[in-house]
Amino acid sequence: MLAQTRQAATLSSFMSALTTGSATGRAGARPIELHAHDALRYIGDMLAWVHQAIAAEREFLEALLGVDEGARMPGAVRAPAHAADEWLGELMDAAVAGLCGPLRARVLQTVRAQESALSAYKVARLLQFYALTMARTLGARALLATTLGE
Amino acid sequence: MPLPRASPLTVIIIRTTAASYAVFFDAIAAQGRALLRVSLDTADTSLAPPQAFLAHAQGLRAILALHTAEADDDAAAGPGGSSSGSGENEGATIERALDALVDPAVQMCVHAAEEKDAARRRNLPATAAATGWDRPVFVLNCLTYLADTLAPHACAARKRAALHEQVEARVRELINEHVRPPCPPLPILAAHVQRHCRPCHSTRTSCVIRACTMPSAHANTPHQTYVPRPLL
Repeated sequence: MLAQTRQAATLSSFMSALTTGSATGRAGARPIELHAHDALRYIGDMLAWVHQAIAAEREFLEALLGVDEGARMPGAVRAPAHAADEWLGELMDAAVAGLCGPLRARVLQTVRAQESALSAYKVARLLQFYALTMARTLGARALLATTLGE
Repeated sequence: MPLPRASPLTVIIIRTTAASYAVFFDAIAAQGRALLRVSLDTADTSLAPPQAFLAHAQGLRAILALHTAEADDDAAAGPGGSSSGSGENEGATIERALDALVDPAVQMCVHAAEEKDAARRRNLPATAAATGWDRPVFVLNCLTYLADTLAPHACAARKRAALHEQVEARVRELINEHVRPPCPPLPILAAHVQRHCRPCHSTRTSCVIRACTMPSAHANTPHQTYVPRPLL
């Protein structure tokens, strides 16, 4: 029930950030899709929003469940510290799972529209950076499992 | 032991990363094919690389600059701060990109030069076709320009070494083609010896070589004393 609620809330916030800019938390923020013509900025803004949402969601769940993560530098590899980490990871995955569809569709559409090799390379490097960063935020197990599975 | 469950969001981002790299390699492959279709202006006597070649090299330079800048940032950040993941994957990616970008450029300058040379020989007068444009020098200029484009980037060392080998081979061909050999060809010299050396009409190679290399003032003694007249 908690996971479904959080998933709906996260998805709603993402769509608002894309179309109206009201979910970014900043007054007068512009919608992300306003820069859809600039592939690098568009994909970067979406992934940055998702990354920020993941961090906020984790802090919310840790506060809700009373889990103390301890000191961790931003961007550092998240290592499981206690028994609740697995459960917390599942809740996190469920909360952000709703973002996968809209994010994937928009990113793939933008990627496939690239005609210049240089802009395609920049987008690929940006996505690679966020793939690694997301794995560190969500847990190293995710990237290893995906890489082995691929 | 079962594999741990992967986050669906991470899976999506990794798959879109793979798709973006596929788009990148498709784009540079298309760029290479377009370059191979370029034909040179027959009337242009310039030996500098053509504009299409220069534009292609500019794109190559931009991609290498981006890769080198990110590699330098990763090196400065240390092993824990790498933003690009596995170094081996990065190396394989840039090597594949270099093959897709450099090989068509080399093929273009060689084949287009051959076509231009053939077209000039067909369409222009013999004297005009023989002068004004030098195909080997043109190819050397293009290959050297390409090697210089790769020079500042450590990731392109292997490709630059391969280009240097091609440059050196073509330079040796040019030297062999343009530098006169120290002795004239033996059949010509043999005929010359027969005409001017009356006591001996030998055409054996050893006799001809001795006649060429041993100076003498007396024309009656065969082999040791014959002084070959200079060939015009």
